[in-house]
Amino acid sequence: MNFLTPLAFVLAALLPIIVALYFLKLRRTEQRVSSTYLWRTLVRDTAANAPWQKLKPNLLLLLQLLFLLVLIVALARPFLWSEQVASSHLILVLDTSASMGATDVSPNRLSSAVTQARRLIENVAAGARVTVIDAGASVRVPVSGTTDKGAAFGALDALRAGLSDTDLASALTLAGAMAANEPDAQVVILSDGHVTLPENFALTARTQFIPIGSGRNNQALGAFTLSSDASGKTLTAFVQVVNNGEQASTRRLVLRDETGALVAARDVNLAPSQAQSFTFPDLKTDTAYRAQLEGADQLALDDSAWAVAPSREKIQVRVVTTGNRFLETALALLPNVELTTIKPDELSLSPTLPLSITQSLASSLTIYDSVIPTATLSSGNLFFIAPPRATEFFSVTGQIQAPQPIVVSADDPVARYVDLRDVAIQDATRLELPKWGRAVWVDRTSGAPLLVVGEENGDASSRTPRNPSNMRDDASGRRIGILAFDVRHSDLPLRVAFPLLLANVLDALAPGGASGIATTVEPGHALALTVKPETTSVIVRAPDGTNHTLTPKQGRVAFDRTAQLGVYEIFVQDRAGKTEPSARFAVNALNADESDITPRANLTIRGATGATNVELPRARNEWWMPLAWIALGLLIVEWLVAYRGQVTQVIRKASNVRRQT
Amino acid sequence: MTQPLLAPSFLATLDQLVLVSRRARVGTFKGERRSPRRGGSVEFADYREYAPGDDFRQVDWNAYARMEKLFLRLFVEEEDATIHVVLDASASMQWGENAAGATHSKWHYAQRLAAALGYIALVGMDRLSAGAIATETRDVVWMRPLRGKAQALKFFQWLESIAPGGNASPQNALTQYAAQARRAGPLFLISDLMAEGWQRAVQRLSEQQYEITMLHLLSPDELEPALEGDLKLLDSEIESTGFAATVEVTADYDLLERYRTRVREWQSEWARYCAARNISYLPITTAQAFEELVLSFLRKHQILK
Repeated sequence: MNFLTPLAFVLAALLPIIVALYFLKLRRTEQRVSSTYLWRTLVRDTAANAPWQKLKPNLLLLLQLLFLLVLIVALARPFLWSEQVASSHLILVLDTSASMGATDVSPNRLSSAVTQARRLIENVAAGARVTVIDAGASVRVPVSGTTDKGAAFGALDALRAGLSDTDLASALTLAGAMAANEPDAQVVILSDGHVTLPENFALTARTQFIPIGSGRNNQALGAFTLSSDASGKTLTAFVQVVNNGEQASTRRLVLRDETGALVAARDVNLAPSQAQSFTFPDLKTDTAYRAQLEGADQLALDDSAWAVAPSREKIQVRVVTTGNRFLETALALLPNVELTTIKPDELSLSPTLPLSITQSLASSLTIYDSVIPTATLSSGNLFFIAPPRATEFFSVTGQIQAPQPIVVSADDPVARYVDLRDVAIQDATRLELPKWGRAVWVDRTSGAPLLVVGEENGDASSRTPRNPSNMRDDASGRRIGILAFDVRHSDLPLRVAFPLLLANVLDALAPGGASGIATTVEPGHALALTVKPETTSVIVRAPDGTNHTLTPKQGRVAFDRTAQLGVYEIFVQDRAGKTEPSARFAVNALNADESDITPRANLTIRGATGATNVELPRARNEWWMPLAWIALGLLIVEWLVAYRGQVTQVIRKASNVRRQT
Repeated sequence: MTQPLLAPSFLATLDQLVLVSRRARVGTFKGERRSPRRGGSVEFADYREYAPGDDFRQVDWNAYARMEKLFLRLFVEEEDATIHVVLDASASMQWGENAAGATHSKWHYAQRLAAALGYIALVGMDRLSAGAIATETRDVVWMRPLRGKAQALKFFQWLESIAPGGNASPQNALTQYAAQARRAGPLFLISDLMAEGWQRAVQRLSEQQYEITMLHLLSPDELEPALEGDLKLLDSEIESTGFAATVEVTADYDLLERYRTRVREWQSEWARYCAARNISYLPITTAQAFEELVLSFLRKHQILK
């Protein structure tokens, strides 16, 4: 019970005043009667019930005190917080990322969020509208501005935890747009807080964050890849196991092949927040593998992963260089790379590579090491190292002395595992950041890009490194990378980072090896396939056996039904109707962010009205009205008691009159 | 003394009335009431065997002829009776002057009632003895017995000379009165009975062969007090003697209701008490019209005929 105007309790000082007045009033007026004889006997008769008699005159006092008390409480305007949400439009943003499937709250986080959302909807005022936003990998709005609570409940019940992370920023932007014209719209975010919002993300609507989840006991497969040995006859599996929990844990890591036969097993003892890597060498190349952590934790989704053997087709890498041992050695060490070294003066003789028709353009990469050919640039993907002059893809504006490279985004797959600390660079070419590319490294002082990766005629600005699904289904996409400094003018080649950098760049510029298909795809994300010109259709067989037939357009197809975890097989069909397997890829829900299921209590959103964790503005149930009625009733009763003699007479007279008439 | 107690026209009406006595009594003088004695009236009463020394004139010779025995014819003796009128002159009797429905105080009413009864007694050739108890100055004052209509004025003057306002014990006062009165007889007691000891006093009188008629006089505001609020009730009687017997009451509906009940109980208590002792008990309020009281109410209750 709270009070809006507790100052009214000051009036309680009137209570003793009433009592005092009552006693003052009890100085009885003297009245002469013929004899007190009868009165005396009367008082003597009733003396037997003296306590009642004493109390009796106080009945009025009691009523008066009660009246005043009730009046004071009514004036203090007591209220109870009601569960009702004081909003005309409730916008519920439910995180349906993979981590919402965690079972730390029973039955799981999403169910808990749905339960809380249901409660909010139940308490929303009649006539208020409800919008449900499903913030999964992509944003859905199953119910928008409905006043039908049943529909909202239906939409909530239909929500399922996804397999990947959430695009909360888009969901919130949408929610903010919905709430923009409604000042009392209320955005409620139900999430475990495991979301990545762009820095300085601002939301103008009234927002509340309801944190979901309590535990963090989760062990996950951090990575599972297969790589060919140099010989190409066997595979080595690389498995990383991460313990995100607070307690040490022991799990059994099991590696099985496609048929389910056990290949290897190992017990894994993990300290809290520790990661361990395992390699399983000498694996057969003709099957896909599944790594699994046996035992239970709070999120089962990331306990298993599939991997397919990398394409056996090699990437055709042509290096145009005057001679660079570092580069050549590092490239030669990479598997699946077929390296050709050409001197710049030989280039004019063979402007294009003699590519066989079976090799797709995507698989070829030309590296220009400190040279830009006078003739046209070769087709296929390009990687420029220390370009001496501008080309049609970028412009060079000068030189930078002793640049200090820093990583723009740690999430960028090109920058992954590459340790840039203390790398010394003598000089670098000053570049303008081209429209098609993104800066991976920049100079700390000048901000000039030092490493740029992108896809020419793709829209680089809309493509975040984590979301390649925005990749456009264009035919002539050509991947281009630029390293602004000559590796020989730095100590980078002497570091472990260099081969890793080259591997990353190769993955980015010639993904998936020869077929242009990544071996691992995040669930829900689209996959762009480049196919041979004679291919009439592409069939993708999902892990559950469903076939999806796609028709290539200008040699490319996009496939986005990657919602199932497991191994997908791609078949290509040519005009003759001959179908043959082309490649395989695995869809794994391995996501370091989602595997760390530690719930966050706060979600910092700038611009949200008030703090994000404040209570929902609840409606107040005021109580003064019934109290005022009670006070009025008490007043009437008090009056009746005080004047009951007269009242009875009036009633008697009235009934007599009625009888007479 | 602006107005006589009783108007002459009313007195003329009273001439027709006779006080009813429930039993015959021995009188002193020849009167108009049956006496237990056998005497010289014309009304036959009884036969009695002759005893030597009886008056021969009273022998019924016809009876002697039939039965050869001497019998005396006895006739009813008519003698006077002593009528007592006793007024309560205590302070509480002065009450009721301004009470609703009453124009005069209880005392005035009692005076008039006594005057009427006394006048009727005098007219009926009875001996009238009167007393007032608890007057302002003395416990009891009495009047020399009077006889004959001619004495009526004297009686009225005596009535008007009484100054009420005392506070005497009714028991003592009545005992004194009875001791002074030589002869018992019908006794009219006019009082509001608002004091302790009345029952004992009345008991004594009735034991002394008085034929009591209790005229219980109350003013309307004693039956239905118009009180309200928290009051300290002052007793007009006790206060006059400086005796602190105040009663503090909160006059609300309940209390007044209880008071009314109490008054009814009190009256019926007296009615029972009197009935048990062959006393006529008549509750009277000063709101009753006096003429109606005398000419109708008292006749109805066989006090007068």
